[in-house]
Amino acid sequence: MQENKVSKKSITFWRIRLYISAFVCAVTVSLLTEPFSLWWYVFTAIWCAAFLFLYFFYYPLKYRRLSYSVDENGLLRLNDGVIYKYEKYINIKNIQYVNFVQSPVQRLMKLCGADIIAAGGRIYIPCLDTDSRQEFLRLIGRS
Amino acid sequence: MEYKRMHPIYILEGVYKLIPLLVFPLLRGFAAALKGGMYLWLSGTWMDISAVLVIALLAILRWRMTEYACDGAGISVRGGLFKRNNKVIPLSEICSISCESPWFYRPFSATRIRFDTLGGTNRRADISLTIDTDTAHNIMASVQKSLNPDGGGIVRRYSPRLLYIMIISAFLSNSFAGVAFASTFVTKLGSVAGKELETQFFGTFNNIVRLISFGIPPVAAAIAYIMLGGWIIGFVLNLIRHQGFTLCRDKNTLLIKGGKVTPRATLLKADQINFITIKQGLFTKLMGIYTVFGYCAGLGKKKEDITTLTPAGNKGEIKKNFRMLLPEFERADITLSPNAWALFRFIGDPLWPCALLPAATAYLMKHFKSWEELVLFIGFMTCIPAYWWLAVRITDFATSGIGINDSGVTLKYSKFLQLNTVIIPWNKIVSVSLRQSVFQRLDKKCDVIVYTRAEAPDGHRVRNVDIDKARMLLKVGK
Repeated sequence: MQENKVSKKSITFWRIRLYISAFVCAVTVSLLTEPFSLWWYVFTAIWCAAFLFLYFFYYPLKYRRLSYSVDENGLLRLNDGVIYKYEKYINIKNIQYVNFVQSPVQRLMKLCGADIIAAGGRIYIPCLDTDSRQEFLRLIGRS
Repeated sequence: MEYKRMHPIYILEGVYKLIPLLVFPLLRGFAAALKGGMYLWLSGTWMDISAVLVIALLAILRWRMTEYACDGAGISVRGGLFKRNNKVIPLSEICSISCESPWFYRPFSATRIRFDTLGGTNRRADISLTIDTDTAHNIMASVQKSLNPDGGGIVRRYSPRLLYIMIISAFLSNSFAGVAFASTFVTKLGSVAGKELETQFFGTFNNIVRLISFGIPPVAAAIAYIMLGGWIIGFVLNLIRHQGFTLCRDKNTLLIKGGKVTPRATLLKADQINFITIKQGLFTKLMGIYTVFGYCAGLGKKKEDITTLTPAGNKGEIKKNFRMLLPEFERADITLSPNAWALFRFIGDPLWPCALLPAATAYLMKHFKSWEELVLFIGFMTCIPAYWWLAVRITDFATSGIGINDSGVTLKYSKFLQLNTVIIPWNKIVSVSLRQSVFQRLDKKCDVIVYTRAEAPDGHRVRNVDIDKARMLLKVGK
């Protein structure tokens, strides 16, 4: 059973999203509090700590853990999660359809997320290469 | 296919849906009031009358243009005022058919009939019609006949005792639903019979509460009596809904009937039942009473629907009913349970309110001395569900787990104040998720979440079982 990884560009994408979120946090904190006041320092410390945690620890670990495969019994398996580790299984026979979603940044980076829908369950695989969409559909028997 | 029109009462349903169009006369009234002109308003009443006539005309047009046809192949509905549509559902895709004759429709011999499939939304039926009662019953009977060729075999029938109907009514009773019903009723009564009646009602209620507060602060007593009254109203409504409950099983279908004031009937395809849940509260667990619910597309879409397959029974009766009515669902013995150290995993969530609520009550009593009695009463009342939840979680720890057999998987877990035993056939399991926290990774345990076929995702979670054994039992993974 071959384990497939998501695109290597996924860490970059998550970090770009993090930069955008950090910018929004910085602007919000500066607008809502007096710059260099106690509360400004507290909120700034909070979002900076969150940024560093996500940038250096969470996203690299998430990329390392994230993988998917299809076994000989026709089960699609997704390994995911950092703090909570997930193993998600869905029988490919139960898959109704696959929805590929792209945000504007993902479109620029030629990435997409695969939302796999079954009647009563769903699995989301983030940051696949757009070029490998057909290969993914072939893997789950939808091509 | 021969197309027919719906019952004329459908016109009134159409009027109800078009009521938002009355916003135009309302806006006109506001504008006239602001400009200070009774004469201005009166001179434009022709516009208001026109709006009402347009609404009535659109409703009649909608009725005229909507047609349905039903034969052995399936059901077809065509219509639409501005956008014409034609929906065809083959019989093979239909999971359930529900009939409901509200008491205000019965003098007109009208019935609402709903058809549901696994697709579509879980908030609305796929097809909903208002037709003649005899026609609705004929449709249901003919579908039942076509799903059960060769006569359908022996029909097994189950009618529970009144005591069991009362138990399920009490089990399903909801104080808030009862309070909402009562408050709507009183407010509507006031708007119809005059504000004075509404004021008299509330004034009388206040006086009665003062008389029978028995030393409890009147405000707290009022809240308690409102909750109790709401629960009693909910109980009575549930009792009326489940009155005359009958479950009939033939070869391929189940027919659930109930209600005398508003008769309801639901026909289910037996192979479309996704899972069965045996529910117990802490109180019913101590009494050894079980309640069985079935889950199928279309069943329970409206809150007034009857979703129970067995209102109540002891262990022996439930076993007998399963053998007779639901032989496809065989309960398996639990072979995989949480370990002893998992106790903290179970009681972790309820421990927070159990500790914080008494502490908050003590703190508020100390700092708000004038409200001491009320705070003590409310604190005590809010502690009851918190400690009840703790007791349920401790029971869940002792009983939860996973078991399998040839027909399916049996899961035992708790969901807030309810203890559930869920039986899922293998072919109804859509996905399985194994979730591990940091601590669970250390001793190779996980939470198992099983998703079943349904119109909307709904998972069943068993806490803290061995991950390798879970993979083996559920036939997933390495």
